[in-house]
Amino acid sequence: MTNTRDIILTTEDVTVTYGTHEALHPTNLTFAAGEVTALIGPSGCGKSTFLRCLNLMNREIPHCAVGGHINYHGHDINTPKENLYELRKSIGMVFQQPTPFRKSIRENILFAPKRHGRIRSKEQADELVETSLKQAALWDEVKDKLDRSAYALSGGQQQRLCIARTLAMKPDVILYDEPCSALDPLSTMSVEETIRDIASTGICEAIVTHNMEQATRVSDRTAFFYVGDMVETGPTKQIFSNPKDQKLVDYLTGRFG
Amino acid sequence: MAKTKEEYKDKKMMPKGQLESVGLGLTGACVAVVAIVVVALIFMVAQQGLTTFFADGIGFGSFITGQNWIPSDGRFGALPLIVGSFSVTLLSTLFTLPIALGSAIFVVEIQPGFGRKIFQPLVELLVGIPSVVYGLIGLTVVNAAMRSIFGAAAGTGAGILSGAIVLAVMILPTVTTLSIDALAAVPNAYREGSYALGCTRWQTVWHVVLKSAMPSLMTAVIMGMTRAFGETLAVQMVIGGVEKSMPAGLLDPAATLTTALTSGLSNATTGSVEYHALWSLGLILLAMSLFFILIIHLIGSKGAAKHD
Repeated sequence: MTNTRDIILTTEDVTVTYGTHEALHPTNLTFAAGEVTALIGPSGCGKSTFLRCLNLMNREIPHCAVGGHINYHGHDINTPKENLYELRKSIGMVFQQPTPFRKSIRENILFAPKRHGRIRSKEQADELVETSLKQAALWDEVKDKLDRSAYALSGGQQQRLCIARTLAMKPDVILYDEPCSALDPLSTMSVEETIRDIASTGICEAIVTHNMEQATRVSDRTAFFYVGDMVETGPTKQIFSNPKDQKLVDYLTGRFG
Repeated sequence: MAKTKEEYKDKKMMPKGQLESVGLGLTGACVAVVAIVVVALIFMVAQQGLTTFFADGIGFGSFITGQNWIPSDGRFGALPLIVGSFSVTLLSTLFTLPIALGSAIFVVEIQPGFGRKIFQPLVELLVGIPSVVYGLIGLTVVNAAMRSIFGAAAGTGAGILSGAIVLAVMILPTVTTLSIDALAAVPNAYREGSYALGCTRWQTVWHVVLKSAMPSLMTAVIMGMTRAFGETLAVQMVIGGVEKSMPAGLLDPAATLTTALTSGLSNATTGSVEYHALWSLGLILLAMSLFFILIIHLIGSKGAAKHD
């Protein structure tokens, strides 16, 4: 299935070291358009660390060095010359805790497009707010209170607002770092549906999750990490029904993690 | 298992019920003392301060708007003092704010190691310096600087501007430290959220961090203003102490509510009109600081409501 889709991101021997400690050993993965890849594994296995390489978020952490090549549309972004800020316009990220800014719902959506000079008129701004919120399945709930504070929303709504905010930049990759771990089951469900809907528009997505059920519900491919190693990867169905590596088998059967 | 009276006696313990009422009594007494002090203080200042208007026949309006404070002539216009107090307070805040905010951004966002370990303790050292030392330095350095910069226009160098500069240095540590705390309290997730949208560090600091920290920053500023408004000694040493008429400019010697109060006390006999008028100044000061504190509380509760 992967071959028929456009490859957007590939990592070649990507490593992460904090000082002298190698937190992530050489990792090779491929991410395609319209696909959701789940990164699973026990805590501290390097899955979030790996995810944060893909939009060079690790550059914000002192003493953290990323090695190897990260090819984005066939061009290596893991170089000192890469413009982080340009890159992150097209590779968006959603975090564990919903982080709406202390602004209205509308201003949360328009925050980044405004900073990057993409807003030309009020009509265009209104349209962007509407399409982004619709894509994140939040429009119907908030269309009458766009000027209210984003803090007034529930946790699940805030998280979908963060997704909408990311979508407003029209990225072609969205990275999710345990986006549902702070949410209740109903909100989790709506965020998962949103993630699937976004994939169907051709955006490439990667999601770090602790929840294996979530991985089966939401992803097309899964990669299993264990103590800094990417142990096994493949189509999600195969990973869960026919795991090969003994560590993955142990993890799936709940022997650790 | 219930203990008998004998057992309590043996161990020199009080029965539990009695112990609780003793605790209640002790802590309750502390609360009562604080409450009585606050109420008595406000009552006394109000009673003495209001005597001017009710017993001595000076109109509140003319007291507030009168432009001459010459107690020996029986002229009690507090406007020059009010103007003096507000102008040094606002000016010193204006001088301090950009510096405090700039250094807070540097300490929290740019160089946390240096900032937290070296800069912040250094700034906090400034808090402990007695105001008389600030006044002394102001008298020799700031007033001299005013003279050499503005020449004859500055006169002796004493004036509102000198007072504001000395106050600015005095409130700098308070405002800086509180601003540092305010910025440091912004969760890192907000910064990452902004970086993840391709925003630069500067855009993140300006639009996300400062915006999120706004209520705490406002509190920092008002705490500084409260201190500036109430400061007496250092201001008195550099402002010139001219209270009889309105200051015409920033270089003019002037007086504030606090300095007029201290310098007037030595001349006023207890029970005289002048004595009561000084209490009225105290009442204005008290009302202003209550007002500042009220604003801080309003900001605090509004911030909390927004976060819920």
